[in-house]
Amino acid sequence: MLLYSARRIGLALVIILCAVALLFGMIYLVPGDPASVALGPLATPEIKAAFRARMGLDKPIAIQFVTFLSIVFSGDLGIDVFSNRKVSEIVLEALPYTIVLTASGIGWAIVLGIPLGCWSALHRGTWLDRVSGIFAVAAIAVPSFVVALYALLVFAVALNWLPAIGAGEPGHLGDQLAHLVLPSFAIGLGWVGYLARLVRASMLEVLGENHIRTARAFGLSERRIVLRYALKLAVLPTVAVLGIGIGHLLSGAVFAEIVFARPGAGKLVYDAVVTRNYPVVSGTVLVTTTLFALCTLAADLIAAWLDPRVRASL
Amino acid sequence: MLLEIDDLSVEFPTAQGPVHALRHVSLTVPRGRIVGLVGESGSGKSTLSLAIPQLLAPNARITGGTIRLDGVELLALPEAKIRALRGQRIAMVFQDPMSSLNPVLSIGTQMADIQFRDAALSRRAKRTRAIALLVRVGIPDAARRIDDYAHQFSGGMRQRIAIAMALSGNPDLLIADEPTTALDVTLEAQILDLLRDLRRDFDGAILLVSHQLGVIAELCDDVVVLYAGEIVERGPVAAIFARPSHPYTRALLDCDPGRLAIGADQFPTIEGQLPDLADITPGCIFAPRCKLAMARCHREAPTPVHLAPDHRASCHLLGDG
Amino acid sequence: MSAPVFDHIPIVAARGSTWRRLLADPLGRFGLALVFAIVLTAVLADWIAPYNPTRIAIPEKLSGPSLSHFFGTDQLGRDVFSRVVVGTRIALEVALVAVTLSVIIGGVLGLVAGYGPRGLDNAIVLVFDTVRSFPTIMFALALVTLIGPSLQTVIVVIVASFAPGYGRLVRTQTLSLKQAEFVFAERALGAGAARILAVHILPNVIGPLLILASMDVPVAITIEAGLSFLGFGVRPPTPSWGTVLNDGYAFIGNTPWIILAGGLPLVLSTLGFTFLGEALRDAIDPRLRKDP
Repeated sequence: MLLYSARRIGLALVIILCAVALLFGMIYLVPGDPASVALGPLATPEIKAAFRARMGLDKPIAIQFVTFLSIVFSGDLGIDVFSNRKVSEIVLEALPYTIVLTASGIGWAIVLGIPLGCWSALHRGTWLDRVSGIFAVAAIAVPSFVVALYALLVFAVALNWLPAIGAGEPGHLGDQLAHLVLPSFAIGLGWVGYLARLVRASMLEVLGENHIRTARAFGLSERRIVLRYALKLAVLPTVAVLGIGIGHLLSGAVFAEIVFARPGAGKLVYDAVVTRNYPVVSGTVLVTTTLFALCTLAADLIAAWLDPRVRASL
Repeated sequence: MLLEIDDLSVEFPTAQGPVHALRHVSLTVPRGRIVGLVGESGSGKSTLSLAIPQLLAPNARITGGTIRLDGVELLALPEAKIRALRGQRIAMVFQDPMSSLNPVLSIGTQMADIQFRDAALSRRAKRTRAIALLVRVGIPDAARRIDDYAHQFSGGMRQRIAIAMALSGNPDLLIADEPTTALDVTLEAQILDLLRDLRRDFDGAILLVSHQLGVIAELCDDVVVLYAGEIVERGPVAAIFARPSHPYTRALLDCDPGRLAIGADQFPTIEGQLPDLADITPGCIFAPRCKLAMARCHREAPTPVHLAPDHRASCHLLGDG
Repeated sequence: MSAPVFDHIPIVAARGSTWRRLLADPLGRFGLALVFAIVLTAVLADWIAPYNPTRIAIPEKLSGPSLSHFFGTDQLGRDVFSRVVVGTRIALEVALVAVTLSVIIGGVLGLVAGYGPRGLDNAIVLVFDTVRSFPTIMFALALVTLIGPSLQTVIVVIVASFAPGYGRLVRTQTLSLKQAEFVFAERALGAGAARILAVHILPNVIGPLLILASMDVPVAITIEAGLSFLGFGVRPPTPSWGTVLNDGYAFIGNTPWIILAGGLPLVLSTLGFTFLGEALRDAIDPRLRKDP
């Protein structure tokens, strides 16, 4: 386990490093003045000059990269040209909203998807199973931003059951939850379908295994077998998959934040792109990519730890 | 008579039509005896053994016959009543102990779980019982090893554990489906010794399923020979081995590696393959592969001939049956 | 052409039986019908659309559905139905071009990585993993910032999303095929890398690659629509489902029809392609079916 963790962490670090390098490459190796590219067309000549000095743009590329690295890893992501605030501050302010939104999406998926998958496996072959299978595929296929838009149209604009804009009043939990329902559902729907299918297939596989037959041979009830033996094993693959799917969820979150005008990293970076606020763009992309790499790392490690078979063989 | 199977037929529907895995099979297991069920792969041995506690795959269909345990018709029982019998009156030991033990639960947890009917017993008491059983089947250092996982034991140990679990409920009938097939010869001998040893304390009956004649000869009182879903010969083990009457039984014995003449330069085999069970031809089921087949054998299915009070075989060559 | 060797590569059954199995599956029929309708619409777009999708008519703006405008008009008086119909062609063009490019780039890199020297393999894999480690949306936004919004940008984003996955698949297959006995035999006979790759390895890897790629078509459509919705894709006045949705969103208070019209073909096409893809995968190799 330790060796696997070390290797996996090493890989994650390499990936993060490469991501930073890619960003560096995008800014500095693209033709044109790196200062303009990095700071955007609204930066004043003074700011640009200061930037050039700090980054050592007259030094060889390798030195520039090292400078860039050290600055980035010290937490300095630059200054926002509009508000003059530190980019890192702005990003960290927005990030919790996105995390809450993404987590709620996962929550929907777990609460609806896993039971649906189990239930389909147990009633396999009946028309209910077929219908839920079709529903699962449909949920996966339809893009989440379309779901967001339609949900907005139907539940907020037409029926006025739920609010359409923003994250709700700070401190007012009920209001914030109400604002969370539609966007998180839009993100989570695709995952409900995905998890349902995965859990169903996984559950069917587990239920067919020999040790389940042994449990039946000793007279344990099917209900006990599913809940105590099969469920844990069936759910294992979903953890690894969750890790991979976080990227998808993130895309969904960005669109959901834009559609529902919620504060968050997604809306932040979108607005920054539109207003050509380059420091904010690169800062947000860097932070989210790093977080994403760390999340997939964590998911892989947890999945490995959960299965004693993998643990023992490592 | 503890177990009576009468005229049992089982089929599996497939896209090409039903596969008749068992056809009009009858056998009995008296209380306290060890009955061996022998046959090659694909003969239907596992289907027969799984049919008794009704653990067949969901698509299996029992198309006829009865299975009676102490006179009670098992096929007519509702699911809950069958479940009550499993582990309690009928216990099973499977072929591959690695895959039949739960990989993610400790042995102790599994052994405690199967005692779920003894609600009065505390967790600790169940654990003590389990340790005692493990000691009885010869697991060294049982008190500590009870918390280990299946993959931490060797193959032979795992099978001992499986036997311990099976005996945990004091069953009347122990069905062992190829218990030594996955083990090498030394371990096989140990398991057979164990089963023989346990026989002293265990007064139930054992149905031992195997394709290996040596195993059957070692342990069983009676033998039933199964070929392609039909019983071709049955009788006491001494009689079957001394006087094998059905051509298939004789061929099986001839092929037994233990009987090879020293200096023989080839393994004898039974030529041909099992018949297609989706398309049963009339006549004796063994006729296509039988060296002694006559014209009649291909037309007419033989009926059992009594060679002795409890020794029967189904073959036209044995006089008009 | 050598016959496929490994059974984890789906063996493409005789065309006839695959087709029959596909048509026997109700979802396959449904998906096929939808895809056919969409492709037909795309091809005949200019004839089906009653108006020029860029025709502006301010006096008729934001009107609801009527006999002359099936989905009504948008904020510039343009016929929404026409925009949606022509948008079908854009959507399919972008998706097909992008997926094809991804297959070529990913496939070639995968072959090189699998068959070539270890160092090159490691480098290519590192590139794959790095590109894949970017969440697609962030990559897209970074790219838009650097090279500006355009259809080309959208295609680059799609290629960056798909090519690494294809590359890894091809690489894995190539690696295992490289060890196959018949490859050793060929090399003993003096065959060069090019011949081995082209004659023995390529035919075996192309099957699963194409299956994977065909299931990515709806994803490509979604990426284009999403980026166009954000204003980073198709440039106005070219119509795209995404831009129609954007207009609809901006005027959601005035009329729901624009959003409904923009979303409908997106839903239908993603459903259609996905159902078809699933049914196709089951029909090609029933052993791949997860449902035993």
